[in-house]
Amino acid sequence: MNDREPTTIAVAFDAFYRREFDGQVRRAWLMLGDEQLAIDAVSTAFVRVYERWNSLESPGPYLNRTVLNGCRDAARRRARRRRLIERIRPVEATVDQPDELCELLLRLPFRQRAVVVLRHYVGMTEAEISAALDIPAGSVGPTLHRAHARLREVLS
Amino acid sequence: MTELRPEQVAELEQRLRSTAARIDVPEPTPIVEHTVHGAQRWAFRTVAAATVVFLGMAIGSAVRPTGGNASDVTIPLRATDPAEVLGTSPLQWLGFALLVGCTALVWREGDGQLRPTLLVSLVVLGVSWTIVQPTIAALDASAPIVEQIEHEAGRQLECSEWTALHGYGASTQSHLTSPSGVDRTTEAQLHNVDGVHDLYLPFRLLVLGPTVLILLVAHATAFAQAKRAPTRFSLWVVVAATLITVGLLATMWPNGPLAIMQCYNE
Repeated sequence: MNDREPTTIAVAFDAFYRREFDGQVRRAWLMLGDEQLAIDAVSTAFVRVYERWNSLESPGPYLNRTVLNGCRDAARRRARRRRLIERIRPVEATVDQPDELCELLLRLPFRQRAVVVLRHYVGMTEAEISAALDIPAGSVGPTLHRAHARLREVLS
Repeated sequence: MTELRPEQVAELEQRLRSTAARIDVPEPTPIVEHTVHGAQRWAFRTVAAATVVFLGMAIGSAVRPTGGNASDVTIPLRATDPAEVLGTSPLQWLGFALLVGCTALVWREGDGQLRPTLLVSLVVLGVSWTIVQPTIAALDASAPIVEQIEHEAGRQLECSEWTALHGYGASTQSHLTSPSGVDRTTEAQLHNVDGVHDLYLPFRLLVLGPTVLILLVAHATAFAQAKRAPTRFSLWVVVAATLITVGLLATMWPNGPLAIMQCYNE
């Protein structure tokens, strides 16, 4: 971590951080439907990238994967919390959903949701999605297929 | 790749883009220059890991029952001082420090987070070392007497005889017998070694391995929770830690590997 000057690292990282932050938060939001959770996941991922800045040849893919892992963890925690709360008292979903598509998107399993966002919002190829989500390349297509089948009902 | 019609795909992409565009993303907070350098963080983590291990040793010291029946107590069965537990050899200190360093390295390579599982692993490591050290000391003290017994018997002892000699014939394993032709005063000397009655081979074998086991647990935990594959560097650290442990045990208990192999061969 220390073979470069700390100031140089800070400048390079700062540029990377400013360039990527906005886009990462937006895609994390699409996967979580919650602004604060999205910002937390992205910020945590940037801290991880900063810690490994010198050893990363290409920080972009690492950031992508770390943000996705953070989103997956946040989604799991939220689902677990919701199940616990619902045992006490049934509640309505509290995520801020601007439209029907997002509402349906948030009901999909996390992997399907992530594949849809990465394919149709970020514009990744199947190989890139496979690497980003750390899943076999052959399962990207079927996952997307299942997600499309669910989303079709809200598309004209 | 898709069963959606092209216009539906276009609509999906458009709606995702317009939804994302409506989100009010705050300006990124300016990055504050880190004032803590890598070496300081490493030092902190190593000290933290060592502290947790010593905490475990303190727990081990407190919970370990006193035992033995010797009149002259020469072996610390209830060690309270880490130096007493670890021995005073600089080589052993170095080995132990390297192990703690390896744990910190693996932890750092994982995700650097202090996970409960890792914390528990480190405490168990400390407890294990506390328990095993007096056992090793008792074995060291009894080794010359066992050699004398083998000399008197004119042959190498079998594992069952070794176990019987170490005090189990009368209690848990009454079917075991001491070797014939051995001077009973020599055998009595062996029984006078403090801690020798606490030795029980399966238990000993169980407590000899935990250092590496704990490191492996720490390794797997750190990477599983970081959802990353172990790095080549971290695997080398585990290999190095294994070798250090073997070396450390060899310096602390020179006759140990021979005793284990002897029992294994039977």
